[in-house]
Amino acid sequence: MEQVKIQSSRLFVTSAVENKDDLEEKFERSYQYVQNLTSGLSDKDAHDALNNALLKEKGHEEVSLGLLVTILTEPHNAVKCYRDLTLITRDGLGLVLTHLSQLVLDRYLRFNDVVKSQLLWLVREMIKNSVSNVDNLCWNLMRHAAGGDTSPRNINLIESLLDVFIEYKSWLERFPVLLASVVYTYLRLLEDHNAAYLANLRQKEVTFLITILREKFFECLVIGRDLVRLLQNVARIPEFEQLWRDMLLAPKSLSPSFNGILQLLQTRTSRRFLQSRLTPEMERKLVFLTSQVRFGNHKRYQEWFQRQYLATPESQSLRCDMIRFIVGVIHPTNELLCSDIIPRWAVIGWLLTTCTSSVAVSNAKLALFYDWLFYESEKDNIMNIEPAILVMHHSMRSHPAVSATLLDFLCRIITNFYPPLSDKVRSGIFSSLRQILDKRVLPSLLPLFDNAKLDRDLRIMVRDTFKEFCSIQSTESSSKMEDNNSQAVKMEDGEIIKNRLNNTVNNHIVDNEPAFSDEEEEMGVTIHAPEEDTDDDDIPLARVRLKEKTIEKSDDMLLDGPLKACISRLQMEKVNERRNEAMDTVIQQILDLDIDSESLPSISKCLCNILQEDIKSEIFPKVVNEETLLESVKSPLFVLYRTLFSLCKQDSTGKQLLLKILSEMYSVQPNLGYLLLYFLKVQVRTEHMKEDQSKVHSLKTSVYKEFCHSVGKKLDICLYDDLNACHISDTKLMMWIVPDLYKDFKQQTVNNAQILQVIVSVIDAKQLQDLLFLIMQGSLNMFKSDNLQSLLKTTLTWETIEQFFLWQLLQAHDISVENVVPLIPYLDYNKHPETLMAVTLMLKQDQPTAECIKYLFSRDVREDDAFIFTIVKYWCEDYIDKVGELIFNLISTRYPSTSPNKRKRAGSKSLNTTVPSADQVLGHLDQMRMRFEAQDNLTFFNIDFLQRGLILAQSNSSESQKKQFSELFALAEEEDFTVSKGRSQGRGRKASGKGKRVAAKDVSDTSEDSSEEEEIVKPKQAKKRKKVMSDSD
Amino acid sequence: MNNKFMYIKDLRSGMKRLELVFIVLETGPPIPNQANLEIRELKVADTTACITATIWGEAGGLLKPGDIVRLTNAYVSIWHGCLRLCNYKTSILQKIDEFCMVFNEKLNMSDPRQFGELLAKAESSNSAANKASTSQNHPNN
Repeated sequence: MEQVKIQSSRLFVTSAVENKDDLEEKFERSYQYVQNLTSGLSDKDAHDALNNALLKEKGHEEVSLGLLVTILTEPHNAVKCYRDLTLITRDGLGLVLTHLSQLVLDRYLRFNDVVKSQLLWLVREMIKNSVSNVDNLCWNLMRHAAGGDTSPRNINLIESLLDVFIEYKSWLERFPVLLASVVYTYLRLLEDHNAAYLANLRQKEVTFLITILREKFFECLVIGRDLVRLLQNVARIPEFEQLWRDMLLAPKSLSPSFNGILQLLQTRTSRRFLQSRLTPEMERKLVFLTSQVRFGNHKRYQEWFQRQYLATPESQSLRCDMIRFIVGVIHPTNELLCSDIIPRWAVIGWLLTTCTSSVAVSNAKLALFYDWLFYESEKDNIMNIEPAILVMHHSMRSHPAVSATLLDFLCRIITNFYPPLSDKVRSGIFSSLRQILDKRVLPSLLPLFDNAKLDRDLRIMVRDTFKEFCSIQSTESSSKMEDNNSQAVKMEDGEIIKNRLNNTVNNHIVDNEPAFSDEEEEMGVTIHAPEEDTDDDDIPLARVRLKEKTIEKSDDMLLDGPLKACISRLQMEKVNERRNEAMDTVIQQILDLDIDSESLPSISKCLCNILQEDIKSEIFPKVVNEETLLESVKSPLFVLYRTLFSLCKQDSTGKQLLLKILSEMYSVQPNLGYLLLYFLKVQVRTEHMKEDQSKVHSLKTSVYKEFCHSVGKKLDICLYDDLNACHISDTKLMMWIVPDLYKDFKQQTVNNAQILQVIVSVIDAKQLQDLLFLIMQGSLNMFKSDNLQSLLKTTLTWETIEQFFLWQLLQAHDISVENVVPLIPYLDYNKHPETLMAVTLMLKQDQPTAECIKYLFSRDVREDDAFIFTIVKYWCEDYIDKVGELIFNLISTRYPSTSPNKRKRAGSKSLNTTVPSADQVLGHLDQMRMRFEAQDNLTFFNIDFLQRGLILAQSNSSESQKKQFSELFALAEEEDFTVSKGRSQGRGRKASGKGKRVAAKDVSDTSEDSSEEEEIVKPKQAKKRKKVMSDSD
Repeated sequence: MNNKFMYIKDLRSGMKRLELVFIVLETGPPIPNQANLEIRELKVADTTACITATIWGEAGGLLKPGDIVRLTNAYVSIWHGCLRLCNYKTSILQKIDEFCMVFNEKLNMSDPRQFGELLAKAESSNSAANKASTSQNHPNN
C-alpha cells in the first residue's frame, strides 16, 4: 500500500514513511483530470477540451492546477502547457500563483530536482510576461536560499535565483521591498561563499550587489541598521571597501537623502528582513521552541535543531541570523513571559555557547547587542535589548564565563565599534541600560556589573565604563524616587521589607534627597556608594546587605548628642588624619558615655557605612616594609583596632563594648575579620622591638580569640571564614598572614583541609614557592603526621592544580612514606591520578618495605591499574631480591597453617591490620604476570623467592584458585630450570625470558599439580628461608 | 476507540488496532533476529507519556529523532517485562511533521516500576470512583 503511493508522488521526494496529504492529492487529481481531458488529442482539440472544462464548477481551478503540475513535472510539455495556462486563465494567473507561493513556502525543500528547476523556468516566464504577484513568489522562494549552507542544492538555488534577478533587474527595480530583500539576502549569503570553488558565484554576487547598492541606495536605506551589520561582514572585499569609503566620507554621493551611517544605524530593521534570513522551516521550529516548549524540556529540541541546521562549520554564520530573529521578531506576550516556556535568553545562551567558530561567536555577540548601540527609547523596542541583559544576568550563576565575555564585549564595543561614533554608541548603550532599569527588566545592574565571579580587570573595566550604574544611588536616581522606594522592596527578601517598614520612609527620603540634587558633585563624597564589592561569593545577597545599609543610614538620625556630632564629623572629613581624629573621639565617646546596648547596632551600622570605602580599598601595600605597612594601617578602621589592642593589653573593661560593636559590624562586613588579623600582624611586627616579644605574641592571638568569642563563632570556623573572605578580596594580603595563622593557631590550622584548600585554590606558582621556601626554612609548618591520612582522603576531591600544590607543600615537609602508604588501597587509578602520582614518586625515592608491599597488594585487583606493576618494576632495578622476599613473606603469611611456626606468628600479627587476602595477592601477581608477559620479560618470576612463593601458594590453593591462576602457577613448575637460571641471572632482566616462558607453558599443559615437585622444592626452601629470616628479623 | 488517537499514557497490554500520533525521541540500530526481519526499538512520546516502540519493517529505519509520526493499527504487548508499542505488517507508519510537538518524557510506560505505579494509582482512583458512585447511588435507590 505504501509502495504504490510513493511512486505516484509527482512533485516530491518521498520515502516509505511519507505519504500524500490532502493538498498533494488535490494536485494529483487536477493533473489526472487534465491528462484525461487532453490525452491523445491534437493541440487544437486539447485546447477546446480545456475550454469546455472551464465551464464546469471548479473547472477553472482543476485545469489551472493540472497545467501547473504538468509544467512543474514534465519539462517537455512545459512550454505548451504554460501557453495553455496563459490562455485559459481568467485572473491573470492569480489562482496559480497563490497556490504556487504557498506550495513553495511550505514544501520547497521536498520538491524533487525536476520540479525545482521547472519552478525557476516558470518564474522566468512569468516575469517575462509581467505577471503580477511574482515578486511575492520570489520572496518566498528566496527564503529557502539558506544562510550557512553551501550544499550543492542550496548553492544551485542561490545562483539560479541570482541569475533571474540579474537578467530581470529592471523588473526587480519596480518592487522596492523585494529589491531591498534581495540586497539583504545576498549580502548575507555572500559571507558564506568564501570557498575557492564558489569564486564565480561570489564575484557575480559582488557585482550585482554593488550595482544595486550604488544605483538604488535610497531603496536600500529602508533595511535599517542590519544593512550596516551585513556590510561590516563583507567589508574586506575591495568593491565593498570602496563602498564603505563612500558611505563614510561622501554619503551624499550615494543618495542625496543619505546623511551618513548614523542615519542607517538609528533605523530599526524591519522584522520582515530579519525573518527572511531563516528558512520557513527554521522559523517555524524556533517559534515553536519559544512558544510551546517548557524550560527544562528543551534539550532534545535543541539537539535536533543543532544536528539539522548548525552542525557544519559553514553553518555557524547562521547563528547571527537566528539571534537577530529572536531579538527582533520573537516578542513574547506578557502571558508567555510569565509562563514556564523557555525564555529567549536561554535560547540565545544556547546559541552562543554551542558555537564552534570564534568569528561566528563574535559576530553573534554583535548581533545580540546590535540594537543596543544606537538605542533610542522612543523609537526602539525594549524587547530587542531584553535578551542580552538577561543572558548576562542569568548566566552569571551557572556560566559566568558567558556573562563575562558579553560584558567584556559590551565595554569594548563602545570605543571599537566605530571610533568617531563612540559617544553615540555610549549613549545608546546607556539608554538601553536606563530603559532596562526603568522597565524593571532587572531591578539593579549591580549584581551583574560588580560580581565576584568576574575577574578583577574586567570588573575594573565595567566599573570605569558604567560608573553611572555601578553605585546604588545613581542606579536609583535613574528612576523616580517615590516609585523606586516602593519597588526596591519588591525585589528583595522579606527581611528588607521588615527593615523598611521599621524605618520611617520619610527619613530615608529626606536623608538621601540632597545626594541626588547634584549628582556629579556628590558622587565622590557619598559614603555609601560602594566602589567595589568583594566580600561575598553570593553577590545578590551582598547587594541586599548593601541596600540594607543604605536604607538604615537613617539610623544615625536616631542617635543624638555629642556622639552624633562626632559621627557626622567623621563622615564629613576627607583627610585621613582628620578622620582618624574624629574616629578617635567617636571611640572615646562610646567608651565614656554610658551607651545602652540598644543603640549599639545603629552605631555599628553607621560606622560600617562610613568605613565602607576604607574596608574595600586596597590595604595591603605593593612594597612590603615597615613604613608601608604602618602606612597601610592608618585609616579610621585601624584606629578602632588599635584602641581595641591597647585596651586588651590593659585588660580594660571597655574592650567588651568595642568587641560588641565590632561583631555587629562584622555581620555586615565580613572583611573585618581578616583585616583584624592583618592589623595584629602589622602591630606586633612594628611593636616587638619595644616590648617582650612572646608577650606581644600571646596578646595578638588573644585579641583575635576574644573577637571570635564575641562574634559567637568557634575559632577554627572563624579563621576559615576570614581566610575565605580574604582569599576572595586580596590574595597577597592572605599570603602575608597565612604563615602567622599556622604559627599562632597551630591547633586550628595544621592539617585543616578547609583552610588548606582556600590557600591552594588561589595561590599561583610564585606564591607556592614562597610558602615552600618558608617551610624549608622551618618557619612554616602546615602538616603533622597524626591524622594526615584523613586530610589526604579529603583532598582527593580537590581540583587537580590544588592537589598538585598540596603535594608540593607536603613534600617540602619531612613527611615520611610510612605516613602516606596507608592511603594506597583507597586511591583509584582512574579517579585519583594526582595523589597516586604523588605517592608513586614518593615510593620511588624509597626502598621497598613490608608495609609498602602489604598496602600495595591490598588494592583492588583491576585490569586497567598499572600502579603496582610500575612500582614493583621500578624497584626491581635495584632491589629485585628484596621485593621478591617481601612478596614471598606476604604469600607465606597468607597461608599460616603451612608456614613454619615463626612465620605463623608473624603472620597472625600482621593480620590485625588491613592485609590483602590470598586472592588479592595472587590476583595482583597474575596482573603483573600479564604485564611482564606483554613486555616479553618474565625474569621477575624466576627469582627464587617468587618461585617458592608461587609453589607455596599453589599447594595451598583451592581447586578453583588453581584454575583461576593456572597461568601464574605455571611459571613455577619447571623447577630446576628456573632456579638455576633465575639465580644466575639475578637482576639482569635483559636475558631472554621467552624460552622459559615456552617451557613453562609446555609444562602447564601436561601436569596440573604434583606433590613430587613440591617435595623437590622443599629442601631448598628451607635453606633459603634461614637467610630470609636473618634478613628480615 | 478506532477513530480517536490513543494517548500513550492510556496504553495497556493487549490493546489492539490503535491509532497514535507521537514524536520519535530516539532510534536504535536494527536488532538481529532469526526471521531476518528489520526490527528496531524506538523511544517515542506524546503529550502524556513515552514508551518503547518495537517497529518491524523498513519504515523504522527511515524515521529519525524529531519526526512526528502517525501510526495506525498498532498494538501493545509486554516483552522482556516492559510494555511496548508494536506494529503489524499491515500497520501504517506515516511521518506527518517534525519537531513541532510537545511531549512528556517523565512518564515512561516501558519502565516496569513507573507503569506499576500508574496502574496502582488508576486502580485506587477507580475504586474510589466506584465507591463514590455507589455511595451516591445509594440514597437515590
